[in-house]
Amino acid sequence: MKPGAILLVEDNPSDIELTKRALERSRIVGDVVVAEDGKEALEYLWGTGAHAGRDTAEMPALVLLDLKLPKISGLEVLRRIRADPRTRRMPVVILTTSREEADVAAGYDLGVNSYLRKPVDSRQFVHTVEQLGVYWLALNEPPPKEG
Amino acid sequence: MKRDWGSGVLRLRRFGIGVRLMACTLAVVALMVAADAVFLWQMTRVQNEVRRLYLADRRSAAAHRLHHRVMQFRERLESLALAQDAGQFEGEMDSFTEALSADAEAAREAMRTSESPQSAPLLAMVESIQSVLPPQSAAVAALVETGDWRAIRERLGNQLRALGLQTTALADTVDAEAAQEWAEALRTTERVRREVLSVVPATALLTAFLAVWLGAVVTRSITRPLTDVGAAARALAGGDFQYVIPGEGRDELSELAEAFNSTARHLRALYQALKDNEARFRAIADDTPAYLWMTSEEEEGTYLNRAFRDFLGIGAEVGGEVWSGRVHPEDADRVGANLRAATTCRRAHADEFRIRRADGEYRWVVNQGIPRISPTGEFLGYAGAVLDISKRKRAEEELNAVNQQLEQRVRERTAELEAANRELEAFAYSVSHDLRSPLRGINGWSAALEEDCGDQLDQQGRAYLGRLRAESQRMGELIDGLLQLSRIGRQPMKAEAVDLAEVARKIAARLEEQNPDRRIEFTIGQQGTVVSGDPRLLEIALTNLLENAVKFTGPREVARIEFGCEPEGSQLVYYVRDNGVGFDMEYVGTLFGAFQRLHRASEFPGTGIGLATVQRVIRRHGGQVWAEAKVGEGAVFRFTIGAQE
Repeated sequence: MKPGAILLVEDNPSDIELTKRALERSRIVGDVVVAEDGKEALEYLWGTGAHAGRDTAEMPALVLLDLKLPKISGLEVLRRIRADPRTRRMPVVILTTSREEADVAAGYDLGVNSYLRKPVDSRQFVHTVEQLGVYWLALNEPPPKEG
Repeated sequence: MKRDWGSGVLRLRRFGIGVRLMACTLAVVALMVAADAVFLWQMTRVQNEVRRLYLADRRSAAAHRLHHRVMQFRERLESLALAQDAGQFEGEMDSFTEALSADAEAAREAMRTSESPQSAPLLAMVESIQSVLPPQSAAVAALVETGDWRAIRERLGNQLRALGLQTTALADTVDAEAAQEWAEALRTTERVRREVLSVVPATALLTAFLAVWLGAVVTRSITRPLTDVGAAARALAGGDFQYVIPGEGRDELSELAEAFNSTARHLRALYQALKDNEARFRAIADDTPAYLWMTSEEEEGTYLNRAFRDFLGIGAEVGGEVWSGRVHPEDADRVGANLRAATTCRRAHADEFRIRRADGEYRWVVNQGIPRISPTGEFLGYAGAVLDISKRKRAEEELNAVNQQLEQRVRERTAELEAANRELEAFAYSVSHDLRSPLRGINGWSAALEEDCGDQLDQQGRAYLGRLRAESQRMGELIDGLLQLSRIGRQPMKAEAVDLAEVARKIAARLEEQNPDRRIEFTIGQQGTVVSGDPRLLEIALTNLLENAVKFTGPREVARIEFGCEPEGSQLVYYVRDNGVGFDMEYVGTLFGAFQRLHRASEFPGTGIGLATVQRVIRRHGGQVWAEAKVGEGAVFRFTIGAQE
C-alpha cells in the first residue's frame, strides 16, 4: 500500500462505488481499501482475522467511517481505534447519512477528527468527497508514526 | 302552747331587737319600782305609828311632869308654911307658880297633838288647871300678906290636893291613852310586818319570773331566727338549696333571713342552671361519638364519657392509668415517650396509635390532649378526645395501594411510551439513514449516467435525468422536514428568555444573504418581544414564517416583511406580515396541516411541512397560531406564546 491510502468503512455498495468514484476523480488518493463492516475494519487495521498477516506497519492515512454498520457500529469502531495505541492518532472522518445530534456529539466525544453528512445531491457529494481528500491527504499534516 | 310561743314571738318580732330589749328592761324596772313603792308606803305607815307613839309619850311625860311639879310645889309650900317664912315662901311660890304655868302650858301644847277623841277633855282638864293657878296663887299671896299661915296651910292642903288629884287624873288618862296608842301601833306594825313579808317575796318572785319570761321570750325571738339562719347556712353548705327560713317579721333578723332566703333563691337558680348545664354537657359528652377523657395531674382518669367507657369495656368507675396496657405493643413505646415529654412540659399532645377495644380488636385512633390549667395557673391534668380513625386508616391504606397500583401503571405506561419513543427515534433514525441512502444512489447514479453516457442521450433523455435528480433531491428535503417535525415533538423543552426580535433580525440577515438578487425590506419591532421558551424551537418557527414570507413575496419588486407584537386583550400577539401573493381564506383550515399546500409547486416550491412545524412549536409553547390573507394582497401570521387567559 502506497502512502495516501484511505480505509473506507461502508456497507452500502452504491455508496462505496459513488465514494470511490468521487475519490478517483480527485486524483489525490491512491488506494481505497473498503471494509464492509466494523469487524472487518478493525481486523484490517490490526492485521487479525481475515487480514491476519497483513503488514501492520502500513497504515491508511485516513479512515472514512460510516456509523450504521453491520456487526460492530461505527461509533464502537471509533472507540476501539482511539483506545488502541497503534491507531489512537489516526485521522478518522465520519461520513454518514445521519445528522442526529446524539451521533454528532458521540463522535466528537470519542475523538473523531471531522463529521460530514453525505448530501443527497450527487454534485454536492462529489464536491464534498473531493475536498475531503484534498484536505486530509494533501493539506493536513499527518500524525507522527508511533515509536 | 308552742303555737302561742310562736305567735308571741311572731308578734314580738314586729318590733326591732333594740326595742324589744328596751321594753323588757323597762318592764323589769317598773316592777321593781312598784315593789319599792309598796315597801315605802309600808315604811311610812310604820313611821306614822312611831310618831303617834312619840306624841303619846310626850303627852304622858308632860302630864307626869305637871303632876310631879304640883306634888313638889305642895310639899315645899307646906314645909315653908310650917316654917312661916313669908319671904322665902313668897319667893318660892312665885317661882313655883311660874314653873307650874310653864309645865301646864307645855302639857296643853302636848295635849293638842293628840288625835284621839279623849284629847278634848284632857285639854279642858289642863286648861282648868291653868285657870285655877293664878287666882289660887293670888289668894295665897294675899294670905301671906296677912300672915295667916293656917289659912295658908288649909288652902294649900285643899287646893293643892285637889290640883294634885286633877294632875293625877290627867296623868292616868294620858297613860291610858298612850297604852291605847301603843296597842294600836303594835297592831299596825304587826300588819305592816305581815304585809311586807307577804308582798316583798311575791314582788321579788314576780320580778324574777317576769325577767326570766321576758328574757326567754326575747332571747327566743332572737335565737330562734339565728338558729334558723344557722341551720339554713348549714343546709346551704350541705347543698340543700331548697331550704327556706320560715317566719315573717320586720326586725333585723327577719331582714337577715329574707336576705338569706333571697341568697338561697339566687343560689338555687344558679345551682339549677349549673345542674342543667352540667346535665346538658354530660349528655352531649356521653352521646358524642368521640371518646372524651380527663385525667388528674397524677395521670389517672377522672372522667371518661360513656362512649369511651363502652369502647374500653369499663364500668362507671373511672380511675387508674387510661392508656397503659391498652396501646398496641408496637406503638406503646412511642406513645409513652410522647406523652411523658408533653406532660413534663405541660403542653398539648397529639398522637396516632392502635388501642385495644373491649372485644380485643385493635383500633387505630387519633388522641389529642390539652393541659387543664386552673385560673390560678395550677396544672390539673389533661382533657382530651380520642377519635376512631380505623376507617380512615383503612381508606388510606387502600388509597396507598391504589396509588401504588397507579404509580406502577404509570411506570408501565411510561416505560411503554419510552419504548414507543425509542422505537419512533429508531424509526426516524432509520428514515434519515436508510431512506436517504437509496435517494443518494438514485441521484448519484443519475449524475454518473449523465456524466459518463451523456453523449449517448438526446436532449430529452438528459432532461429526464435532470428531473430524476431533482425529484430525489426534493424527497431528501421532505425527509429532512419530516425529521424536524417529529423531533420538535420529541425533544425536551427548555424555558429561557428569548428575544424574538433578536432572533428575527438574525434570520432576516441570513435570508438577505441567501437572496442577493431580491429587494427585501425587513421591519422588526422591538417592544415586548422577550418571551420565555425554547430558543432553538422558536428559531425554527420564526425561520419558517420568515422564509415563507420571503418566498411568497417573490413576485414583488420590493418585498416588505414586518415582524412585531401588539397587545390584544390581556395577551401579546406576535405577527409576521408580508405584502406577498397571499392566499384564499377559503382554504385557511388546511394551512397548518402537514404536506398541505395552497400553491402549485411550479409557482412556489415547498414541502408543506413548514407551517405544520410552526404550529407544533407554538402549541408546545402553549400558544396559538392563525393566519389572515387576501389573494394578491399579502398575508399576516399571528401567534401567541403562553396559554390564553
